[in-house]
Formats: sequence, structure tokens, C-alpha cells
Amino acid sequence: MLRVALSRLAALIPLVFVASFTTFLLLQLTAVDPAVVRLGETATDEAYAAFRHELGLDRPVLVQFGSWLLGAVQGDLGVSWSSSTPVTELLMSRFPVTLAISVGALVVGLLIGIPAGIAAGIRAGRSTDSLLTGAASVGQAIPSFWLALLLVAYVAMQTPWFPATGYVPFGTDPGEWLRSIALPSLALGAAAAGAFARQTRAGFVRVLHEPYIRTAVAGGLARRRILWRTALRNAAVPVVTTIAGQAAVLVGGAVVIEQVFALPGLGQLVLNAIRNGDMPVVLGFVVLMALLMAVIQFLLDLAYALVDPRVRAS
Amino acid sequence: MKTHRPQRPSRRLGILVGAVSAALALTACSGGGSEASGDGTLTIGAATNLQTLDPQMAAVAQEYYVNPVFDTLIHAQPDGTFEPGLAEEWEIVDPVTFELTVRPDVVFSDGEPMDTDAVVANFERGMGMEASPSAAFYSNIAGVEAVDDSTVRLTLSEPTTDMLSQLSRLPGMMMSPASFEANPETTPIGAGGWTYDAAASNAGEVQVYRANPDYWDTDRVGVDTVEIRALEDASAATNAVLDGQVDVIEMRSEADRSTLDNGSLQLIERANANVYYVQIMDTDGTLIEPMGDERVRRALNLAIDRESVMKGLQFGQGDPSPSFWLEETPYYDEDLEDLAYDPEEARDLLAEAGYADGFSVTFPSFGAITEVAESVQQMWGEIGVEVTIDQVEPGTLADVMRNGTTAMAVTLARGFTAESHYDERHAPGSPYDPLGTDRGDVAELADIALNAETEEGQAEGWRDVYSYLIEQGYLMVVAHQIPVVVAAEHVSGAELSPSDNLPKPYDITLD
Repeated sequence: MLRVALSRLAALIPLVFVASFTTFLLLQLTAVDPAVVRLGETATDEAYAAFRHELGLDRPVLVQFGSWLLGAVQGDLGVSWSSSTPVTELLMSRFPVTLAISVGALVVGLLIGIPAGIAAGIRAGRSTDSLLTGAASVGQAIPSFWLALLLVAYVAMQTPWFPATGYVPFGTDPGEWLRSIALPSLALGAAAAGAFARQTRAGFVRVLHEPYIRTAVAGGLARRRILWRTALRNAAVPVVTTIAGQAAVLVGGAVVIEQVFALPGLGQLVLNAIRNGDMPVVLGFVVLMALLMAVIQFLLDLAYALVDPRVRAS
Repeated sequence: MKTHRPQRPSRRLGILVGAVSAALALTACSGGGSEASGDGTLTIGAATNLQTLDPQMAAVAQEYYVNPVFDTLIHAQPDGTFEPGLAEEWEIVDPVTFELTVRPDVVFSDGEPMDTDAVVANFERGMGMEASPSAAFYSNIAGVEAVDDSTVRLTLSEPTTDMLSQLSRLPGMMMSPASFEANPETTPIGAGGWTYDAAASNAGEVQVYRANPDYWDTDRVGVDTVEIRALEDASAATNAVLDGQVDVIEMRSEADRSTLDNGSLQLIERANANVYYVQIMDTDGTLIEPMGDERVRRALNLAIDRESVMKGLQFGQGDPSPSFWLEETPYYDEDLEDLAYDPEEARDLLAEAGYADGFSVTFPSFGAITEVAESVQQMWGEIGVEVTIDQVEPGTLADVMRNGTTAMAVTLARGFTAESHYDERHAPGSPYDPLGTDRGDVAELADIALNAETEEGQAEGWRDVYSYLIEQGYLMVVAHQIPVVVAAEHVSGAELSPSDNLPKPYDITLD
């Protein structure tokens, strides 16, 4: 496993370099002037020029990237051009919010999707299966932002149970924290639930037709044991892959959901940074996402080993 | 059979639950954050995210983030008049000399005295900052000195009629000189009604301010805590005020009025309007030949149907006057009403100028301005002038207008004074004169206004400047938009001064 971890780490270095350099080049194409964004439209041309000089924007493009890269490899992601706050501090203050609703959405997806998928798989071809598969398709098809708007309009605004906007840190009030992430997690997790349900159902249907299941049935093993120990474990491998894929999708989807619920997460941060031409923040976000994806991939490897003895053996 | 039931899956389930709980608990690491408003907490929803708490580095549009911490030398009133602030009195000695009498016994929140030395130090710091949004103001100060223990004299390079207005805004906010060497962008120290609570604030979410017990005018501090929450998404802001999560927001669009005007919220209008207008950079036909003909520019102005724009885009709110300044201001000129919508005369003027078949122009545009630009596109199309709208990236419209390739654009003026808007947008050689075009007699008219020795004379001077700009067709008004702030029913005392997008927290109480 250590070898796997090291290989993932080795792959991360070129990934971060390519991703950050590509992002840097793309940002060069935008016409947004961070000096105008920061100083407002009423500042003088001299003030704009002085601010650009302060940011180092009057240096050659490759020198600018090299300078950022040099800092990044030493753990210094620079300072936001918009707010003069260290990028690491900004990312760390926003990451918990995005993580909360992403993990919350994953939990929603797993709690709804896995049981629904199992139920549909066991009853494949029956009306329960059709109903659950249809519901899963609807869950996947509904845009998360639209569901979020519906939840705000018909749940948050009509009842006192959940706030329409805002985030309360866990440390401030765990109950309020749960209330503040409940609707965003539900909006974001609906599509994941649909994906998990479909994948689980497909896995179950496939596994239940395997010879070793027939053998287990013929051997007199209890149905419950066959389903929960043998079938579920074998059907779980593709589900684990889906979880990893959904984790990446959820972090991306969080960008939109954070806007609707005014949550101060990474999505809002990077959206503003792109709008404001705040390159250090955008590049910092890219590095963080690359690290996050590598961690997810590593956890996926661990999960494979957990559910599939062949992976452990290899 | 039960004895053979495997135990590991349940352990793994436990591990899974534990892992998920741990992941969720990780999210508890976030620092700070908003708390529900209670008694004495005024929560304001802001349309922008905090950039800096240093008033000399803050953009005009972010003034509301520094208002609680920093008192100003002069206070602007909602009707456009001025009252003493940290300066008890002021005197315009001559057009380039301005004296302030500093209020005695005022201290900053760090205990340092807010005296003449502090005022001089503040101006000197501003004058030394090249990359300040207020650089235009500071660059006009030739010298600052303490004449005696209570008087500060400002010597200007050029006359200005904007001094009182500027000293009631960012340049008038006094910082403790002891804070200059610290980091005023994140640890601001002022002499305002509240102090900044960095520990309770959270970047990008909420800024928290606590009442300053040493504020010189404690009667104006009606709430213990002020929270300013960043609510950049307009729908989220509307939902937040409807849901009672914030007490005050800026109404972002007239389309929201029907939702917000529900009987349980107050809609507070600002006395002076924002103005959507067509800014002509190419005033002498350098880029588009017909624009050099005064008759063409007049025709374009006459082709704008402001009544329709007001009904169509502003749900009947606003004012359809062709004048840049409305009737209640000292700069209003009723003769400009002759420029009301008249497409027949517009067509005749175009024909007379030799452009009966029209010509083509391009508007760079972005965001909410686009719908106003589309209205002008349609109206000018009716007299044969073809308008192409070129969408530009967010935040780049000002650059595009100033790069020397743009003949004209629909834009929005807000929070301006007669002098500041003229200086920035219409003065020969200003940032919005990248082509160095001929602007007729406007500079001479502005000189008269700037050198007038009485307020009446200055007002008359600026009225003449704006009348000239409009009659010449350098500036074509499309719509007047009245800024509106939405406040919860229990909020009292919220008012908007001429440059405010959101009310200052001073004098606000919660019932």
C-alpha cells in the first residue's frame, strides 16, 4: 500500500504542474484587469499602473509563473490580489464548507442510493424495480441548482426548519451546522443517490446470476447471508468506483449550490477569483483540487483492497 | 446458522460510519462564522466580498465595510448637505486653501488621540500611496499642515468643489497613525462607532464589528454589534432578508420590488438617482465620422424614449428626464426637457446632416447594462442607426471604454458628484477621453464652476457644464434609477446619503 501511495504522490507532481500551468495560460487569455477590479473604476491610470507593478504584472508571463511556482513548491501559494489575504488561509477557511456539503451529499447519496439499488436489484423486473429505477433516473436528471432553488422556495422559506442561506461552523453550534448543510447536501446528493442506486442495482443483478451464488443457494446458505455477505461484497466494487467519481462531481457541483445558499465555500471563492482575475487564488484552488483528487484516488485504492481480496493479494 | 453470521461487515459498517463522521467532523475546523441575529445585532447583506479594511486602499463600492470602524471628518446627510464630524468646523479660505477645525478630546479605539497630528499623518499617508483608489483626490493635495493645535490646512493644486463630499467619504476616514505600520488591511483602527472583531469575522462570509465604548458621539451607536454578510448572489440576498436572516440589503433589481414590497419590509429610497447613459468617447468623429456632427448627436439623443425604458425595464420607477440631474438638485436645467423623445425630429436632423440612411455603431456591454443597451439599440434602429452589441468580459467594460477603440457605450453612473463625474468621465484628457477629442467649451465652463467663490456660483457653474454636455450630445441620458435599500420592519433610522449603496450603521436602532 505504501508503494501505491508513493506512486500516487509521484503522479501528482506532473499533474499539479500541468494543471496549474494550463490554468495560468488560460487566465492570460482573459481581459479582466485585477487592478481595475481591486481599485474600482474611479481610480487613476497611474494608480492602476502602480498596482500592476505591485502585483508583478509588468513582468514577462513566464517569469510570473516561475515566481508563483517557486513559492508553491515551498508551500507558499501567494496572496490574493483581491483581498491581500494569504491564499492558503483563504483555501483552508473555505475548504471545510465545501467538504461539509460534499460529504453531506455523499452521505445523502449513499443512504438513499445503496438501499434503493439493493431493493431494485433483488426485485429486478418487478414493479418495485421499475419504480426505483425511474426515481433514480429522475434524481440524476434533475439539475442540482434547480432542486436547490425549489428547496429554498418551498422548504426553507415556508418552514422554520432550515435556513435559506448561510453557514454555521460545527464548532459554533453543531445543531445549527447540521441545519445549515442539510438542504445543500440534499440538493447536491440527489443526483449521487440516483447514480449509486443504478450502479448498485446493476451490480446486484449481475452478481445474483453468477454461478457461485447458485452454488451458495444450492448449498443451503441463508438468503440473507448470500445477499449481504457474498452478493453485496461482489457488487460493491463498481459502486466504490462510482463513489470516487461522484466525489469529484460533488465538489464541482458544490460551486453552484454554494451560490444558491450563499455558503462561503471554495466554489464561491474560485468563482469570484476567476471573475476578478485573482490568479493566485485560482492557481491555489487548482493545486488543492489536484491534491484532493489524488487523495480520493488513494482512498479508492484502499476501498478496493477492503472489498476485493484479489486486490489485497496483489 | 446465526453462529456463522459474519461479524466483519458490521465492523466495516462501523468503520464506514466512523469515517463519514470523521469527515463531517473535519468540517468543524472552519473558523468564525455568522451567528443568528439577536437583540442589538444589525446584520447587513452586502453585494460584494470584502477586499480590504484600509480606507485609503478601499474601492468606493466597498465603503460600507469600513464605515463602522472609521468616522469621517465631515458627515454627509441624505439631502446632500454636510454636518460636522471629526472636524467641528471647516472654512474655504480660497479656491485652493481649505481649513478644518479638529474636534477636541476624540480618541481612536487604540487610545491614541485623534488630533491635528493624526489628521496630518493620515493625509500624508494617502498622498504617498500611488496605488490607491482615492489617488485622484490625494494627488490634488499639494500640502497639509497643522496651523495650530486645532486647525489643519490643506493646500490644493487645483480648485475643487468636491472637498466636503470627499471628506465625508473614504479620504475623510481617519485611521490611528499607530496602525499604519501594522496591517490596516486586516486590523483597522479608527475613531468610529464600532471596532472590528477579527476573531468573529470569517473571510468571504461575515465581518463583525462591536460597539466602541469610547466613540465621541455614543448616541449614534444604537446596536451592540454590526455584522456585514457577503451575499453576492441577488436571489440569495433576497431570500436572506425575506427569511429574516439579514436586516438590510440593497435591492439589486427593480424586478425584485414586487417580491420585497410585501408589507413586512421597508423600502428606503435614496434621494439622488443612479443614471444609465450613453457615454460618447468619440465626440468629434475620430472613429465614427457622423459622431463629429452635433446634429447627429442631438438626433441620437432625441431618439431615446425614456418613458418606455422606465416602464419596460424599471417597472415604472425612476424619472424619464433627459437631464443628468433631477429636479430636486441644484444642477437641474429645465430647458433640457426639450430633448424629450421625438423620433420625427431625430430623423429630420439625421437627414439634414446627410445620414438619412443611418450608420452603424457598436456598444461594448456587460451584465445588467445589456438590457439598457438593447433598448437603445432598438430605439436608434427606428431612426436607421444600426447598433451592434459586443459583450465584454465581466470587469472589463471600463478598460474597453478607455482603450481608444470604443466610440461610445451605455454605462451606469452611481455615487457621483458633479465634479467627480465630470473629472472622471468628461473632462478633456480624462481617462474616458482616450482619443483626446475636441470637447468644445466644456473645460472653460468647468473652470468657472471650480473657481466660483460661493456655493450658488458653483452649483450654477456645474449646471452649465452638464447642460452643455447634454446639449452637445456628449452625454445622453437613458434612465434614472432610484437606488433602494430593503430593511426589516424592526429597523429604525436607516438612511442613505448621496454616495451610499447601503446605510451606515450610525443612528440605526432595532425595535
